[in-house]
Amino acid sequence: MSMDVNGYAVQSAGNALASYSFVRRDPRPDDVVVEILYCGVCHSDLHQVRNDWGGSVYPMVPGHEIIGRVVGVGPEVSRFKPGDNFGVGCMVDSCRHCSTCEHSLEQSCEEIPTYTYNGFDRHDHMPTFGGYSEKIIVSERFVLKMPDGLDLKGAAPLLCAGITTWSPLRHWKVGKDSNVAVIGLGGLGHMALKLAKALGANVKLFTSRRERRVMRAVSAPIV
Amino acid sequence: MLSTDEGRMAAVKSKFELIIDTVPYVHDLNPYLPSLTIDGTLVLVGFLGGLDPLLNTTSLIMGRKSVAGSVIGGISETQEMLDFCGEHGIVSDVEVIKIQDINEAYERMLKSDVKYRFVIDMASLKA
Repeated sequence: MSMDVNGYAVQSAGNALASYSFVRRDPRPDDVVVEILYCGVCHSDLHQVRNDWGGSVYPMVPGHEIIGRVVGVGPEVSRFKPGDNFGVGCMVDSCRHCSTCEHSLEQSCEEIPTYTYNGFDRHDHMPTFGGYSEKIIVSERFVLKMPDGLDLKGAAPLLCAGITTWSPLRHWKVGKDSNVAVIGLGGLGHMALKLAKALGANVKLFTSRRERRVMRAVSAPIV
Repeated sequence: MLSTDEGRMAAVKSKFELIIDTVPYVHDLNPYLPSLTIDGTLVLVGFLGGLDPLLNTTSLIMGRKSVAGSVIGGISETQEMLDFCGEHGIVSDVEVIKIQDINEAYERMLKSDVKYRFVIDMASLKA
């Protein structure tokens, strides 16, 4: 049964976000139905709402740093049950069969991944609507388990800012005694500092922020 | 422009194996290249578009350095990151807002007036 959902959307570039009601799809056998608790506000929400990159589709419900609670699962779902905490990031699907997908690099799917918002569903070709809403329905394969004990509000940005900075740290094998610098102290920058330090690196920060105050948790020397 | 202080930049010459550039708008990358080690990489994660000014290749060629890009990560890597954050207690520094205040939040984001991420409490949708 498809469901009516409330959220916030922008109707065209340059307009303000406002209350918007829309319909989420009928859950498929491998879908997880989730109630959204928190959604991070990513800089790319801003870019896509304003059509800075071109190709924005309206009405647009942004949001791809989603934390919530499972409220229903399809019959083929095995990893989640109602009551579990979950996360959804920037993708809700990909082709799943290209070489890139098979190497767990869905973000670079040869047929382009299905983005959580401002994309089109691969099956029904309807626009995808993101996390600035009360519920979302996502294929189990693209839902993340949230570890116990993490503050859910603070964990929301991990779904984009966290992975965006984690991935290059891992790809370029940052570890103990690596020397890493981060340029910019914003959503991405502060996550890069925290993750690099936790991986054992020596971390420095390039920033133009006038106050030039370093986060207590990281103590990365500013250049 | 970031890091225009020549003295500070000289102090980190050939220092970093990796520089992560998170700046979400076009800016000059050239001043950072001398601070990469031999084989070092500057990876862009924040800005989509043409570089301006152009990249000077001298530092890259003479030091076998790289300018690269990266976008999010795959699902299994995202889970690995979450599990790591769970083990180390790492979360983002956030300012919680109501959905009704999202437009004001966007204006503040444009001025970098947030430490360091807004997060919408979706309970506010029911208000």
